[in-house]
Amino acid sequence: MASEQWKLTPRRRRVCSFCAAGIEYIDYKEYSRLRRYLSERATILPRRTTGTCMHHQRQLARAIKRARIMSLLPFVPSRNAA
Amino acid sequence: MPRDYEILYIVRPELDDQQVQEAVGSVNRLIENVGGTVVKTDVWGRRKLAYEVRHLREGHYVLTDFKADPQAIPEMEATLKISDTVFRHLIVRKPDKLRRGTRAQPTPAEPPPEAVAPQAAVPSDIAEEESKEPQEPEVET
Repeated sequence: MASEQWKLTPRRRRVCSFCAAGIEYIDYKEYSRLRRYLSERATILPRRTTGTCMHHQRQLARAIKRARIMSLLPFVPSRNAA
Repeated sequence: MPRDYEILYIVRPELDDQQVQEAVGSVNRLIENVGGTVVKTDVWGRRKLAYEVRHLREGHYVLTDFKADPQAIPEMEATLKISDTVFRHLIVRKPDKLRRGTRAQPTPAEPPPEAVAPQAAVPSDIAEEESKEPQEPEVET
């Protein structure tokens, strides 16, 4: 129910937070910044939820995947966290 | 032509500072052995892993910037894979800051300066306009 909320409530068109911050390259080492783009189940959030532009969404996905390889971000939530 | 790379690797947690330094030394020696040059080494220190790797929950993270030929990377990978002290590593090519400006040129030896300069500028008008808005996406945690 709560997860469906975004469909029902009209939301202002958001601008990509990476464009707004003027970030040209998303570094996988900034894992604390990337964590915001993971859901509770540690999946990468879709663009429609975060408002990220396509250019940065691709970079973001790659950065998250790299951070996961280096165990900086989880593939699945840890058992005590979720 | 040497390229800029960076390697992030995780050293086994049970080693003390001196043993970590030895491990760092051996990785740096490996880079030199394959014909590269170490630019900078940054020891992040002991950190919790996001998930268990080889039944370990922590590790010493080390980040090293280096220059090497692309052919040298598979050699490094092969050696690191069988390392006892380094149990995970990731070699990544460093982003080329002028990539967008130089992509059109087949020979990146001498990019025309006027082609590079405007590309480097971030769309600041967009950043200005939306700076009042919260920059974080709405994410339920």
